[in-house]
Amino acid sequence: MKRKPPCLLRFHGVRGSRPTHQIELLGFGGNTTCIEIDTGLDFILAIDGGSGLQHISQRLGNHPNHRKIHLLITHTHWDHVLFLPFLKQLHNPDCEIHIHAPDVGTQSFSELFNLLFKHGRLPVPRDRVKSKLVFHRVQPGVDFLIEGKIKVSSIQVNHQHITLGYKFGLPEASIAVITDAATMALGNILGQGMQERAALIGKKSLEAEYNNQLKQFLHGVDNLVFDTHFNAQNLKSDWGHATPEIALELCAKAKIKRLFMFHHAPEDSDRRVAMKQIYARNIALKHGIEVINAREEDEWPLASA
Amino acid sequence: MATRVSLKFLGVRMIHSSPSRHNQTTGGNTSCLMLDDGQDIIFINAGFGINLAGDQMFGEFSKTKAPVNCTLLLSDFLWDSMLGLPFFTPIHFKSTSLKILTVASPAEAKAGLDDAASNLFSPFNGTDGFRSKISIEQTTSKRMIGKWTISALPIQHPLASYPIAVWRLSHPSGVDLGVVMLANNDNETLANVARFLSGAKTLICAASSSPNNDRWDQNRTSFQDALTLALASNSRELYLTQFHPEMDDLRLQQKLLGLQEALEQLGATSPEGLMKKTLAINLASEVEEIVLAKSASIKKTG
Repeated sequence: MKRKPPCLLRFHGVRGSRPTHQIELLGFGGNTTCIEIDTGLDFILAIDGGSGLQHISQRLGNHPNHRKIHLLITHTHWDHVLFLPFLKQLHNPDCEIHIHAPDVGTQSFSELFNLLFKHGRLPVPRDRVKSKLVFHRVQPGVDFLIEGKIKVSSIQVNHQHITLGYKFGLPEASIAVITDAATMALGNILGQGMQERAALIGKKSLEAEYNNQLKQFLHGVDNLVFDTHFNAQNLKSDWGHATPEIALELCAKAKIKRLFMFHHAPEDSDRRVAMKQIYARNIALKHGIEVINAREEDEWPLASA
Repeated sequence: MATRVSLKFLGVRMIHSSPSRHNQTTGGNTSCLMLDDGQDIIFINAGFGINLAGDQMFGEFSKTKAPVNCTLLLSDFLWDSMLGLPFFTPIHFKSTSLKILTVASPAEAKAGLDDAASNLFSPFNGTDGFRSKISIEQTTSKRMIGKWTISALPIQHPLASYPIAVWRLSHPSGVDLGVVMLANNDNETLANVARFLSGAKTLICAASSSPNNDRWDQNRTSFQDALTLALASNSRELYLTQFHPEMDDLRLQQKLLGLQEALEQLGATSPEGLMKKTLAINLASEVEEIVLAKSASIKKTG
């Protein structure tokens, strides 16, 4: 009897802020965020449409077996959406693309998607999109199913506008992906609606509430992909990003055993990214957490701890 | 004192970035080149390549606190030509002065840059959120930036409602540079551009052919168009740039060889053959700095 292949986690883009090509950092890769979860089912499941999405776009090409793509968008910053208009399958009438994303303020993601195609900004007009394109509004905290098979949960995290973290319940293992998230310490409150909530219950209470919600959301997941853009020395918390220390503290509290460090700063060379991992592993030892640097084109079998 | 004028391609890709080990020789950043005569720094386009210079300038600023003054010539307001600007670190320093030249109106230019720095897609709040001093000027006639004389040819393009710029820059050191980052490839446009660039010793031209003729290379100059332009302008050196993101180093080398062969054959068969054979064709590369000497002959340094 054939064994079912394991679910795979593939990194296609691991940089934050902007794509960058420099010889000194191509080891970890220069593309911006895109992560694929290969469930072995008959559709592609990916998170974010940064420049790393080009790997999926090129790999699938016009392959007849890959006609359906589900893309989950964490938020609308350039590093997470800039490749969307160039996805080859978007222009193929035989393909079906489902984009799951939250509204931004009063605007739906489909409205923002249209802005990417604005005349004079992009060489191909919006009406050249020939695939079947379906937008699904994601509401933070409301679970949904993809193709009736994959359960997805979401949470709003502390980053500009509305930014979501996603959690996937897969048969083999659970995985959560939080690409951009800052700590709320020092009154650093960034997300849509969060200032209003702080005004209502106080900053300290909001921080405690947020930390608790995040811990509960992540409790016991087998794998966590988390923002480690900065380190403790260069942290600019109002930029909306975290450090390995913050990620590890969260892993320890939520009893997570495997951390993928993600959203590497575009100015960080391979050496600096590798040093960050060495440093993080030293801290992680006492908690028994495995620490892995996300690297473009790497794939990892997803297994429960 | 001898003037050293250098040219660096910081981004050689059109459409979108393509960071990859397969692009190590040419590069994977979107459109940007930098000219430095020791006095003035001029960027042409602000794709993500500009951030390589921005990181370096930030490093120098951290040490010296010397204000950054530079000029940016924007050929157009497509994403690949300007999306790097909001991430250009010096633009967030109060002491920085950036002069932006375009052939579009300042309002059209500001609208483009505001789109790039929109708070829907970035942590910024449009250009008004930048801390630096930015001036946007429409270039309609020859103008000076330091020792550089800059002129622009506005051309119409189906991709945009605003005019797109072809640039010509000359310098007392003898540098005479034509820069075509985006141009339609119909005969009338090419002839018009060739007239404007006539006699430019060095031509930097978009060679945006795709590996499989997809829709992204439509209305753009191909490798062959770039050669045609260089010959029609009597240029001595041609630098090909604005490569399609799927054209990796190997494919680009093959294209270059093909073009060099075509030039050889042209040299063998045409009456002006000998002159045509003096045209040197190069692929732009983010790895090299090019020193433009007084004679405008170009020497590469490793």
